[in-house]
Amino acid sequence: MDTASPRKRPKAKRRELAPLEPVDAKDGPKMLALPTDRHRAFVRALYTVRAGHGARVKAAKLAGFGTPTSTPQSMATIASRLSHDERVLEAIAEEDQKFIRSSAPRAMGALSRLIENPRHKDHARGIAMVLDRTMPLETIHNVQVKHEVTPDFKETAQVLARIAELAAKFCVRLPAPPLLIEGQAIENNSQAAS
Amino acid sequence: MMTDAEIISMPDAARFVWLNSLQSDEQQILDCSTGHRYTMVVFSTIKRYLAEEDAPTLYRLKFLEYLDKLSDAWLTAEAVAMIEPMCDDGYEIVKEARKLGWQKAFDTFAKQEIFSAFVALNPSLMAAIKHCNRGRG
Repeated sequence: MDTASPRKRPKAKRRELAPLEPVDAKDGPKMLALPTDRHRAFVRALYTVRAGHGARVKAAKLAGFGTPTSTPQSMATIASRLSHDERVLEAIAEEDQKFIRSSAPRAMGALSRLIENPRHKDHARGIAMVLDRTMPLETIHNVQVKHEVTPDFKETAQVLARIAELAAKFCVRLPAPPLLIEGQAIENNSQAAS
Repeated sequence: MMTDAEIISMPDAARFVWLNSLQSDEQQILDCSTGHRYTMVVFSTIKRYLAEEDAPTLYRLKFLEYLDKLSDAWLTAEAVAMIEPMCDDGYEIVKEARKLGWQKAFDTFAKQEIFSAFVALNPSLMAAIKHCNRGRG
């Protein structure tokens, strides 16, 4: 009976990583408004840790919050406070938007693969989606806008008529209304002729 | 010019003599009720406000409605129409009286000596009183 275990292939020496090109990526204003780099790291870690129970604690640990002796309860408290901080919430909202926007190329790739695969169950839906966006249907909306205007905002004809009526009744001399310049526009072609 | 206080403190006999010595205009002012006196002063002030160029339309309408609402069977619309806007001197009196608060200011406008001063400054008030008393004979 052969009991010999399969021999492990010796690990080759790891390839040296080429130094990263400096990427001048800039954080958004909400991220920059966070008080420390650890807060920023916490927000970024929220997108990298596996979602689920304890994700926020893990993100807090990755960001460097707590100490090696911090109890799980302490870490949970830290993570909870961080994730309910208004500034952190605003930064998360900002990162959400960035994540969605940066996912657009992948979504477009997936969509193009979908519409090129006639056997896919959502093939027709994908085509319809593209057509909706390239040749949208015309829709007519009837919108009724109701304005409630008070007399001090708009001098309605009724108000002015009532004022005129009462002023005449009580012989009140109202100041003259602002002068209107009346005239007819005449096109001046003298410059064009000369 | 007699003040209200002097008239009230006057003995009956002296008051009778004083009343008989009054001119027609003075008599008509005396017969005019307190409410009508200050209402006419207020109307004159309102007409001054209405003549101001920068008065907002809403206020202008409110003032005119005020004239309409406060004119009555004695102080008719024709009489109100006769009242002229208050002059600068009269308006100074109004501004001083307003410092007492509107209620006391109205009482002040209606005082015999004060209202007579308004009538002297704005003769249209007297014309309006005469117009109102026309039907009384």
